[in-house]
Amino acid sequence: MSMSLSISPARITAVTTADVSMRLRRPSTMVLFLLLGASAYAWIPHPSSGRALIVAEGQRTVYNAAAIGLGTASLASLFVGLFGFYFLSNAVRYDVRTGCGYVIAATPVRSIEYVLGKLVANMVFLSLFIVGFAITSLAMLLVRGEAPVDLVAFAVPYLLMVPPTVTMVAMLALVFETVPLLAGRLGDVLYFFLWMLTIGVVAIAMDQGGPAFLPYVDISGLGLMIQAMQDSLGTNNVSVGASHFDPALGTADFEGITMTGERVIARVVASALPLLLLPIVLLRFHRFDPARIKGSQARQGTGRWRTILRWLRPLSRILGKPLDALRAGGTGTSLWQASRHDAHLTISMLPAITPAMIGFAIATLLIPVDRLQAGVLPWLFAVLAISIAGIACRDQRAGTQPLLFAAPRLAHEYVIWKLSTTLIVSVFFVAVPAIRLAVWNAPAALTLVAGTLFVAAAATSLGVLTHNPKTFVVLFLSFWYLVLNDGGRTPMLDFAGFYGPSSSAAPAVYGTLAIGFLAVAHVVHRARRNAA
Amino acid sequence: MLTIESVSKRFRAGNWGIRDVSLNQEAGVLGLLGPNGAGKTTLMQMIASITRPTSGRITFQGKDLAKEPDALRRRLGYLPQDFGVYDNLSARELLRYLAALKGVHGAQRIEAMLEAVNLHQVADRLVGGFSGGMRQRLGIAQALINDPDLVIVDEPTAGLDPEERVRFRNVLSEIGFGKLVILSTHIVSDIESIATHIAILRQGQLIALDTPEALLDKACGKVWQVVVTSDVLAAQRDTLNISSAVRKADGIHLRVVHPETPLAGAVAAEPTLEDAYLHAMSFEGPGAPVRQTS
Repeated sequence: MSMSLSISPARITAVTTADVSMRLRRPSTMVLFLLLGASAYAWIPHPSSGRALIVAEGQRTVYNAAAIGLGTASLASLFVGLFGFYFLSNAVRYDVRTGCGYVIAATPVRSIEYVLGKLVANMVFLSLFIVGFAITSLAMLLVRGEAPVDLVAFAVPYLLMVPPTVTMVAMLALVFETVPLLAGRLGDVLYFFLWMLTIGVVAIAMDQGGPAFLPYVDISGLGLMIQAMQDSLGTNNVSVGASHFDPALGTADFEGITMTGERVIARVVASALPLLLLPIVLLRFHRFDPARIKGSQARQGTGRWRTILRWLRPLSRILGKPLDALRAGGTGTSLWQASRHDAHLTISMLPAITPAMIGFAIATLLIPVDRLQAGVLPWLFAVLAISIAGIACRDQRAGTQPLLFAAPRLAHEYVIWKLSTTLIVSVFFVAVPAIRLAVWNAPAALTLVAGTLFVAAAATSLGVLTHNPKTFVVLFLSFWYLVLNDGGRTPMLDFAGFYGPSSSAAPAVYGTLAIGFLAVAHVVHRARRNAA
Repeated sequence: MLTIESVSKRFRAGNWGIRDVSLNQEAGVLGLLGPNGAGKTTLMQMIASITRPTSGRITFQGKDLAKEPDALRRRLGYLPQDFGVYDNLSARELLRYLAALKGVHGAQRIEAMLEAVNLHQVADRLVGGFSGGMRQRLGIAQALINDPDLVIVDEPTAGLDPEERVRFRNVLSEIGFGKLVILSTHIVSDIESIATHIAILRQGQLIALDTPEALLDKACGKVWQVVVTSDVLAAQRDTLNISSAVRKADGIHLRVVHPETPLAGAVAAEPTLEDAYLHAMSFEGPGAPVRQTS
């Protein structure tokens, strides 16, 4: 048997080129790059606003190349870690969905060539993302800089901080795609918490002088950033990204990251570390074998997980009963009836949400009412968001939209229909807490209702606009994390009153935002229908 | 050229996709016929080395696919049943990509293929805007880009309009001498003019493999024409192998495939390939359903 083990760079390049070309031509990429430009402007505010890119011990750092480089490189690493995964995690699935995968499988391309091609494509895409962000940040240095432009000082933080994040996110996207249990919505959520946990643990451990190997596993580079601030400014109490500062404390001058051989080696090792996951991808990659694809899809619902879901399925009938009882609420073809059926479908399709709803209801009743908002609501909203994310886009993704649009009113009032469905499902989550809060503190209940409307509207509109549940899950969880991190210090952020109804304007603002979201989705939906 | 020895495919769920299929095929056009779910796609995917047989052996030009899949892949052109495209690439870019994966370099071959399938004038348009027929033509272009010895096309005419079907048949018939083309379909007319051999699959088993002439010969004397009333048709519909039914002024003209005279007044007719297929499906191979004449 003669078997060549040679790897063809030409094939790897072909896979990479095709993948990157496709991604760059998607409208979502354009939106991403525009958002990047806008975000650089927002993260590097004019000091007269009372905010600055980097604030150490309440003192703002001078806008020199090193500080802007470090601050924006930290943000780039954070963004790539949080959002990059969701942009990348459909590379192999796209080949399955389009059917091109079967053609690829019938060519002499080796699995390792295909996987490496996709890995490099992921890395190239993320790198372009970072280069775009760096360029806009550099432009901000020209606009807001308070010291001469030093390209090397600006670039060093990027070169040191970002590569490990790029490699890890590019690799994890492939790992999550190829391991069946991680390939779905569960994987999306797990990734978010995994990433947040990892960067938090490593940065905190490095800050406290943890084991010597930590710099080698500091993938996000936040540990390095904290060390650099400690070296230069003598503090690790640092905020990055449009943070408030105290003008009375004057300014601090960040001198830049000292490039030591040890640091460079640590970053190179951290960049290479994710490659250890490559065997998992190669082992799990199905090479478009229909038997293995079907098997892995089936395995997402087999084994213990499937057994659990089978046990849970009868529970979903509990929620189906009140929906059935509401049948009298309209005629057979009314929007209300359509929404009722759609909500029933949602609960049947996701049997795990029924015990979650019941669990939250029980927790709501058991916990002291004054601890209900901070203790239960954040987790309730995280689960609610994941549960409702797919409602507005599942028809389009399943190809059933044309069938539904043949039914009376659904095509014309699609956004309202999907919002109604989302709200019905949301009501099952928030009804018990809202009633309990209303008895105790009516404004708190009002804030919760406005927050629910906001979340439902955002899920509906983003689902309609992007045809992808991930967009909402990612944006909402990021926002949710921001709200939790803020801990109620910025009342306007607290959209559902996790920390009490401290801002009377919040319900009005989030209610208005909800209406705005829906209006945009409705207009775009109508425009698409007219163009079709 | 292609030898399939006792090949079976059993899925994880326990059901058989293909059961004990053997055939030996030299150059020519092999039409793979069978109803939906007969196992045509599974068999083609195994030949294309996309999925492995549970048991049995496939060899191409003497080389075992399980051991040397690349020996086949280098000489293979494959057009799957649902040939999807990358919407955001142009026809030229997609073809260049798949050509590179097949180890074909050079713009000349790509341009020649675009011209051969009449897509050269729209080669820079994004394929997301292509019609079904244009996509299939692009599909056949990618399948032929490496000048393959074995071409596998799975239900290539599904969803095409009559004009595109004819055009597609012509492209396939021009593929060339000395190559093996395997074309699956459940529409007999797709292959009757181009197939040199026809294999018929039913429930994963090969029930017939022969030349079209031999299949027609087997059906000779088993095809009948008879004119019946609507009432008779309604009563006999479930018991007769009806190949066609045409309503005319004097009644309904039936073509029936049956070993003996199915109804009083039936006269023997010249079999078509459609009749021959129906005959094989009904009366040949293991587990053939036996139809009773009332």
